[in-house]
Amino acid sequence: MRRMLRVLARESLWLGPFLCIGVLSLGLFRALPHFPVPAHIRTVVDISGTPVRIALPFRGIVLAPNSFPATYLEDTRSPDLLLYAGNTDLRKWFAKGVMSWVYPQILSNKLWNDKLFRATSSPFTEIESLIAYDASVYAGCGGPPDLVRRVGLPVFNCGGSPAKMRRVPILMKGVGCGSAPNLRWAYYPEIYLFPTLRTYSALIGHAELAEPRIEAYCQVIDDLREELQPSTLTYRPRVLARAEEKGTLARAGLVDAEQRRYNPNDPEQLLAMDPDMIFLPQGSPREFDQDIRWQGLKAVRNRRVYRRPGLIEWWTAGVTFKPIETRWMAEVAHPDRLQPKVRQLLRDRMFAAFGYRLSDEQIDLQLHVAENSGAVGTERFTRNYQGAERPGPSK
Amino acid sequence: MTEATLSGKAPLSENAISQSFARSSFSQRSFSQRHGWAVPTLLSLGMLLAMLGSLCIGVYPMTFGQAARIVMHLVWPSALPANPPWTVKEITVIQIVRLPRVLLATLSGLGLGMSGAALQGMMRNPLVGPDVVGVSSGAAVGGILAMLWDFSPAGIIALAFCGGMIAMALTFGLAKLAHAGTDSMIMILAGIFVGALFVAMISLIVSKADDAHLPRMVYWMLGTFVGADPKHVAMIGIPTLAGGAILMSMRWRFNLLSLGDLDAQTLGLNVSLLRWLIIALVSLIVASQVAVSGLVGWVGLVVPHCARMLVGPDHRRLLPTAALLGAFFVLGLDDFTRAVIGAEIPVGVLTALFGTPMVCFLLWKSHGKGWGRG
Repeated sequence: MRRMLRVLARESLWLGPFLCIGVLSLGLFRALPHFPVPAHIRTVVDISGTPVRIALPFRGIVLAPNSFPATYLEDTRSPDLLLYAGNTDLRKWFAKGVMSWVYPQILSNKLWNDKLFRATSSPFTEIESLIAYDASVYAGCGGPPDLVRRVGLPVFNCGGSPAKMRRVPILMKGVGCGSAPNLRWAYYPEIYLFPTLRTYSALIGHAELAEPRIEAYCQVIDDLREELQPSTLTYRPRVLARAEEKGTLARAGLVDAEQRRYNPNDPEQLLAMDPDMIFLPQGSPREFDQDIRWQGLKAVRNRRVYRRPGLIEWWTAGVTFKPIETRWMAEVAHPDRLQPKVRQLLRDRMFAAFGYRLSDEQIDLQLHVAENSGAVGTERFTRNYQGAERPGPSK
Repeated sequence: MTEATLSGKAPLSENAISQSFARSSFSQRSFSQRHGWAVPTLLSLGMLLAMLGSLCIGVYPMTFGQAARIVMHLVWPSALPANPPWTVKEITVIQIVRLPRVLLATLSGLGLGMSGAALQGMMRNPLVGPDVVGVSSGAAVGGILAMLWDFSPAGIIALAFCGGMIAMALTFGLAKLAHAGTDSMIMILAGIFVGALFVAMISLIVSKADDAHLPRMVYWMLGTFVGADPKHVAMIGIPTLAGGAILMSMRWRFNLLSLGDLDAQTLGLNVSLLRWLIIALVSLIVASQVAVSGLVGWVGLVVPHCARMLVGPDHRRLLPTAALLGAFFVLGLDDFTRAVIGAEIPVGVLTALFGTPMVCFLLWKSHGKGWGRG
């Protein structure tokens, strides 16, 4: 009998770990824990229309890894509310942009941590990092996970698709700056910029700050429209400007040359496209000119390859700089119709928005004056440029 | 599955089989035979402790005792105490973040270790593993197609299972066409050919994938436990535990298979049926692992060798030991990435990095004995 029991125990030894794992797995399906609602709260609506309850007194904001600290700073102008900005990779990008000049204190090491937020898109590992901080709100611009919200953490969504943002019409007010907007897709950049600005302003408790800045944005666009008169243009250059909204190009009197399924790795596609102008987001235009593959391109032959103005962070120019970038494109394409105002606009808008005076060197850096020297129509962006250019046909 | 269905003749008792096996080439009472049962027992306890220990690794500070208390609460069918000795943050970290990942790593290793030992036992060949015979690549093709077509989790497993089965059938069919049966070299060659075909198919699908699917596919193919959640645990847990239980319950038959087809048939075993049953179970386990955590190579090849060194070739002990060692190996590597490296390195990369030197070491230690023709 004893021997039989011993044999039985040996033979069913494998059952132990199997049962343990099975029982542990069942534990995952218990009701999720829920964070208690704080006694004092302030409620704001995020970009997807979800109310977010923020604990008071306000303890600060943690930006989730897929958020952009420069956008946050540009929209809120509140560096002191940040508890965490991102990982060191993001810091490198941030350090290249305008916001690091305005708010150098943000480069402090305590706001950037590689170990806390790892390079992962997983919402589940992020939760652990998020709750390690005792923040009043966690902001995520790539769509923070529903799960974080389900456990009761105050998650503020600061980015999303136009389809989601349409749920909150008030956030979309003014998109198009007077033109009829197409809200189904991102025709104009404001479709992202305005809701983000409005919700971020509400998040820091100053919703009233958003509208004057939206008006200033539309003012630059209106001035450009009035001066350029795009409807009367007889020639609109075909331009390759990757990932640029079609509405921006239309405002600048340009036509998007990019095909629907353009593959940037296929040189033949660019040769077949043969755009009149090329706006590079990065890299040197002169090196591009010298590449033997592109010698036959119209844009290269006519010296019309440019590096686009510096952006505040990656691809986003932000609510302050986007209209200036649009104007820069228009001035490059139609110098005969527009006065050179980009440098002055950049200086004025920077001072009006942040109280920061840009030096000539900083403006040169942002407009890539040195890199663009030699390209047609870029003299007007140099600091010593005096008179207006001789009017002539823009063909 | 009863013995009557597996054999056409009167079934032999398990004891008689064990005695017959003991009288064979393994009759010498070595260390592994004298202490063989202690190893899986200790490994079982060690695995539980390792799982609890893994729950303490991460950004959020957590003590072993606290992790154990929370786990007890999760598995004990009782209501949440009024004043629990843990904070909401702590239980959130365990229940939502760490436990699913630890379970996913454990189940992946368990399934791969067990599958490798089962395939090696079935084919009487120490060089085979799920990735060598093409089953992993086949399952990956199924999984990646299911991802491309946005299938449900069950659909991903089903398609991965079909891919794994097709790959195994092709490998066997190719070996049979070469009139080689279970000859080790021919089987491995067939597996390499079939694997290469499926890898080419994976590359083709990935090259044609759109931007929405591509990053997920690439990361998944490297093998990762990032994004573990209860659904994933269920996807891998049910097939692995159920399939594994069936494999375990017939593990003594592997001992008969290792005597050779003719001897096994003489002892009353329906060899062909048993072989196909093992193939189906291994495909199911590997498919569920691949569907959830991508391609995690080398575990099914390396771990059974280590298990054999610990407990000897008797599959009654080898199979549980390989399963537990596989769980240890994969869980340990995942802990290593989280605790030591502090970055999300795909576990498939690490198993290859650690597995290759281990195989080389084993090859050197054994002087190539038993690695030739089976």
